Amino acid sequence: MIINLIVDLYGIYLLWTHKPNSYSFNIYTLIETVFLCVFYRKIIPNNIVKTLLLAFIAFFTVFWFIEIFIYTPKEFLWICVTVENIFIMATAIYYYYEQIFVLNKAFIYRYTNFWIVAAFFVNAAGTFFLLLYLSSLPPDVRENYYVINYLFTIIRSILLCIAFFRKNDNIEKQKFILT
Amino acid sequence: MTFLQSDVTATPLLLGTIGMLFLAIALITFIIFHQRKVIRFQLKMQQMESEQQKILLRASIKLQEEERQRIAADLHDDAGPLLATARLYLTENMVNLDKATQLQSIFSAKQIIDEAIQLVRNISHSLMPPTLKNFGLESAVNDFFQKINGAGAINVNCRFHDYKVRLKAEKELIVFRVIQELINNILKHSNSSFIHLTQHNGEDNMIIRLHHDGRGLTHEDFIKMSKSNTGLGLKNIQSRLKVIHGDILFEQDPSKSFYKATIDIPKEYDEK
Repeated sequence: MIINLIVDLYGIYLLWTHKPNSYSFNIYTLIETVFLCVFYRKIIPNNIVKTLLLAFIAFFTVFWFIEIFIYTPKEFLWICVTVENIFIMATAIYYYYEQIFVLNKAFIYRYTNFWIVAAFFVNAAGTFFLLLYLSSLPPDVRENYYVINYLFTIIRSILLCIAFFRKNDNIEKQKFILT
Repeated sequence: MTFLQSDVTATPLLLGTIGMLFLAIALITFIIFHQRKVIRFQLKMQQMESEQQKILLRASIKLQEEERQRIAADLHDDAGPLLATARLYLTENMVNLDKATQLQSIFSAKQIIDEAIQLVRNISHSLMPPTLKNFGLESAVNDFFQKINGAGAINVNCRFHDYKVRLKAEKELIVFRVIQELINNILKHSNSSFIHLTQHNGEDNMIIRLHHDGRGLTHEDFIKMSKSNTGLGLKNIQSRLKVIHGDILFEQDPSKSFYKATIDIPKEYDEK
């Protein structure tokens, strides 16, 4: 969230000074994806999925560098963002699927992880079509649609705030024991 | 031109965004409601289980109290007067009596003490049958069945197919008590003409099956009775089997002529 705030502020500053701001957003895409991979590796207990996530980090980093070399750093890496969105949605769906089988005494929305996953999931789902279409639009038309992106960034921030204000005191230990 | 292009793109873009958002929210809502449902179900299960535990515990305590009362009654009503009478024979002006009367008193006192010893032995045997302790479940069941057969009212027999390795002592006692309770129930309620007990060994368990031709229980009846306040003996069977992680199944023979009670006792590694 802090990195996101820095990137956004720096992006606005670059826009204000009439310099291309895609460079910072491209780096943010890589950092965000790696961070999410590490986060999902922590919250998903399945070892196969953990290995796949590790492989995804390696794949995405290589892919990102190739994209940077093919397109210049001055251009926004639309494909990378789309891949990241698909990754976020797929992993979130898997996380929720796993939660169906976990017998916790506490409701799922009492967990911080639930809100963090929800924040990125809603953001990725909401901006998926936008980012897919935006690349095909001329730069002057794109600005009309940025409001959708801003809206989902606000929603994500609100959900992340809820996540940070959750108290996970004893709920991790409250598992059902059936005799 | 820009507006036209913008309009053409706007509709599918907005529809796609709304659609994706709706799907994401629907998924999250489904997970929340599904989990709430699961939690409620689990809580209900836990509550039912704790209720069942309470019923079993109550039955077990009641049975223990009844057993204590029976022993207390035996000691108070039988052993107490016997010993008091023996004391009377030995102390009442014995020194002043002639030798023949003295001998008669001592003989009477000896007889009464013998009776008291026999009574205490009987109480002790009812608590822990010596045949079970010394020779194992098979002999104890045979012994028990012989006593029932001796009364002549019913034909009772048993067949142990493979009982070379004995169960642990405490497990044997529990199984024996369960068999005793089942036989008592059959004798009291079933009005049957025969009882047949068989024992088989599985890979990880031992199966004991009781057949009889009287009025019996199905498993539904057993579950119903074990949840109600009646059927103390059945609850006792259930609580005893729970201790050894055993199971019991009541069923009627497909031919509808016999009732079966099957006890499944898991073996421990040292018993295999």
